[in-house]
Amino acid sequence: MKQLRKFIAMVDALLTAKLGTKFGGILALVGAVLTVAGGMLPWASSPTFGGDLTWQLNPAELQWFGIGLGLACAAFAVCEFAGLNKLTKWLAPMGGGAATRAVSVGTLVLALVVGTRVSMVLGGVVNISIGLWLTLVGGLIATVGSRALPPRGPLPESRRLPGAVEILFISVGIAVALFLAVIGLDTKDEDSFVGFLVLAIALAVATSRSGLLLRMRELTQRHYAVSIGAGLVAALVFPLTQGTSQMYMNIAVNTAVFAVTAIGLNIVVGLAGLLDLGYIAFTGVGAYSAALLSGSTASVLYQHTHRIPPFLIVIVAGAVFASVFGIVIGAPTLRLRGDYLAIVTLGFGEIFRITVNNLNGTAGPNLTNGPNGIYGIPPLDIFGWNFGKNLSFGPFHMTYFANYYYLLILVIMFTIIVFSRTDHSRIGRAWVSIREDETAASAMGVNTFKLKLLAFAMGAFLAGMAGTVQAHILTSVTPDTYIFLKSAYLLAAIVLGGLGTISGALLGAFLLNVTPEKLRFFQDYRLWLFGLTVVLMMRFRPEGIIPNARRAGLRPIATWGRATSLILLIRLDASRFSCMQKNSALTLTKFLTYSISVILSELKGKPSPPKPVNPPSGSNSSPCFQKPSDPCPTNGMEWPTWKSNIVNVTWICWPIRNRRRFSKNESPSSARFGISSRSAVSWKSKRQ
Amino acid sequence: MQQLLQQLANGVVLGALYGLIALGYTMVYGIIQLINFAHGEIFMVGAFGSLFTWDYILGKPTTPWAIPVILIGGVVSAVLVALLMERFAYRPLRNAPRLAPLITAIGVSVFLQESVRLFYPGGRQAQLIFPQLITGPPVHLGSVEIDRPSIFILVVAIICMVGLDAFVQRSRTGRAMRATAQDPDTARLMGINTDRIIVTAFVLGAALAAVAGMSWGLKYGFVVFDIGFLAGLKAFTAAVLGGIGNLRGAVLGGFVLGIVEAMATQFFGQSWKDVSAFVILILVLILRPQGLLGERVADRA
Repeated sequence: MKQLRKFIAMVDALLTAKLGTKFGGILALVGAVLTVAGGMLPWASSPTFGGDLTWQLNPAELQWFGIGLGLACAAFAVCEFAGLNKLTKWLAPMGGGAATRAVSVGTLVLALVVGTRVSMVLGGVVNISIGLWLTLVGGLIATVGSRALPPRGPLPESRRLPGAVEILFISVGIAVALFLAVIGLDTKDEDSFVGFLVLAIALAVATSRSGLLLRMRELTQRHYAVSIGAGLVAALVFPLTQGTSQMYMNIAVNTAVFAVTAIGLNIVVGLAGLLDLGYIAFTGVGAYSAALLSGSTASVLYQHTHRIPPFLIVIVAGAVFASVFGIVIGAPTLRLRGDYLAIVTLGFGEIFRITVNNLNGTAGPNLTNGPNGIYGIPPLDIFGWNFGKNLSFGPFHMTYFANYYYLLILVIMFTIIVFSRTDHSRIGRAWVSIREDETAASAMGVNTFKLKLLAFAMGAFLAGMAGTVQAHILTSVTPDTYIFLKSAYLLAAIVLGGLGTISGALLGAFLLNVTPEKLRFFQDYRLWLFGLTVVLMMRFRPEGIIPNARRAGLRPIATWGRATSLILLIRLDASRFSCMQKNSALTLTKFLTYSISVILSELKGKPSPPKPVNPPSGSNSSPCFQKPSDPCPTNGMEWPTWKSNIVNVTWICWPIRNRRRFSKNESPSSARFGISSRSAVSWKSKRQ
Repeated sequence: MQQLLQQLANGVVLGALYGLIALGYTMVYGIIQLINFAHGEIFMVGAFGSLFTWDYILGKPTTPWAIPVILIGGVVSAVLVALLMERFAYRPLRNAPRLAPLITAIGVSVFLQESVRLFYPGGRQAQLIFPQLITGPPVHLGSVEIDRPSIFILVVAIICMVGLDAFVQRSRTGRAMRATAQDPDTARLMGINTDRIIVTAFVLGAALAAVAGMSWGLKYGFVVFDIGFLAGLKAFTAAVLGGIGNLRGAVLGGFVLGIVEAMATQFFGQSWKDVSAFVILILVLILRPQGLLGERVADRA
């Protein structure tokens, strides 16, 4: 990996030196033109591949993707040429060079993938026609040329535009995103979908490297309500576009259930930092409660009572049941370390599955029908609105899935509100502080146990809620639906999307549910690939596709936590500094003022203050800090106590910024007292 | 009474297997405080490695003399997988937040399971036949009947456990392991290559898991790609029960867990036996979180 990076950097330097920025840009433009021209010409010799790629000047899907990439490449290259003016300030505020690279590599990959597939399907490289060759050459030229372009610059300050214009920008952005999503969903075959994925990934990387995404994010944050409203409208309109076709509505409904569960799990894992591996069991509790109360003929409760409570009661009951389960399982284990929690929740998930399997009348009382499950769950009925009937809305006719879809939109909205309100409240800040450093958090006076239990119960509540709806959508609940792999799958979704963010959970849910549907051949391999994805994500991008702003930014909570633990430690250890107390009051004063200045600078986010004349961290220079092997000069303390005091003092006084550089061997004492600066960001910066 | 004794004997055999796997958990945990969720899959890979050696390298012999060879096959494959796992999944995350390696471990676990399911010839089958190399009538101990593979398991497990204990207590590397477990930084100051010690812990754990995997196959006569999941979970329970980080504790925990499970089968029926392990895990965590032989240690942040 390191060697590869070094090699690329070498090539870049060579190209910049030989070609020069200007010529590189021209090369990239030429490559882009070739790519576009290639898209207009036939790609394959036979119409049997990829929806007929043989037409001239009448591109098929895949060729359109090539043309799109070529146009994007040209646009970014022009932006790079033009420098920062009024337009490029918006299109490519950080410079178009890095974006051009991403797009041209995308073109190259697209041409290579399609070329491989064409020769595989049609038998031989001869079947690749002129257009694809042109695209390949264009991609190659653009890649070489763009490597000579300068890397991305800093993001310049944005000027505020009139509100209406900014909102227009937002709507254009959302429209483009929707347009792309529809194209992706409408691809006819797997090859086209793979092509679409290449296009989407290249564009995503390019827009984020050019700073366009950051600009959009600024805008959406400034007009928060408008963006949320636009997203909601898009979600509400989606079923209207599907007509009476069931396929995507079915996927959409399953994705929505998955998304609710994923957001719930993101509270537990992403915000509070508790790894819950039996999360799907809470969905199961909700689903079984709903099934038992649903009026299914297989439900024992219905057989005895013949009554069906209204769904609004059922959804609350299911959610409350699930959170009670969460509390029962969490209360004994949350006092312990996180690792135990992970394994106990895993065990609990298994207990749930086994118990549900066994409550069949032979191994235990009959409640759940054992492995057969509860089947024949009738469609929902809320205030006389039958969910089993197709939905009609003026001139629009939709399948009955649309009913559930709209219900789930409501549930998702509720979940998002719960998530974001708690995230931005005192509770959410406390969760994050627990996640970052539990010892420091409890030193701050955070009741860690209660708050962890709350996170656990809240996650279970949301999962239970999703479960009650899921039971009606699936029309049957069986123990096999709630196996461990489902929990792992949920975890993969939030790790991929981004731990601790709503949009991350939604994106993860979308990716993990839609991709396997579009790529049938991939379905058997999806768990394998997602296992691999989790490992790779944790290794290379632990913050996920959409990082948490608080995590990526200044992390005020973590800083406060560290500062507090520092103060606490000073107080704790001051009493133990028998050596220091006897030695001189001066050392102590120096030491305290130094610590306070460290704290203050840490809070301000400035570099550490100049070191005092007699730095306490230099263990040999101060009269108090001598070689560890000697007994303490003043009180003749024995080695172990003496050593531990030195270690503590050194580690308290060491500027926090310096400590970060101790990547390989953080001091055990700093770990013990919880003042280590371990968090996603500092850990990444350490590795560089 | 006779049935009770019989179940007790079954429990001890089961416990020996759990103890073998639990040693791997406890060793790795003791040194780098990582719950290696994927250890159960290492056990599974060991079983499949032995099966592969028997099937494709030896050509399906039936003599019991093939056992050492297939054992080596299993151990080699398990150790190889454990080495790769440590190098590429865990080592880069050594200084990461606590949650990261745990999540990675889940990923590794799913990845290994699916790899075997997808890429081992016939791995998708519900059951792959494992050769019955140890045949012969069961041995009678009074009224208790023990089949020969079980005796093999007991003997091999005890040899491995005693061997490991001797290794850790007597050998130079063993002493280095104990030192690293106590205080990695000081150990490094004393000239111990802690990276190598960590690898050693993974390798030893994998080898023991592979022994357990092959024995499991010999006893039950089949292997499936998902046997590692439950076995790993229970072995972890055993490790916690005995006091995680404590080798003798892991063995003791394994035996206790095996016996409890057998008793649960006796009194509550086959279908509830898996629940008993988790109930025990939760009870231990509430009542004695440091485990049977563990010492109370301060909660490290």
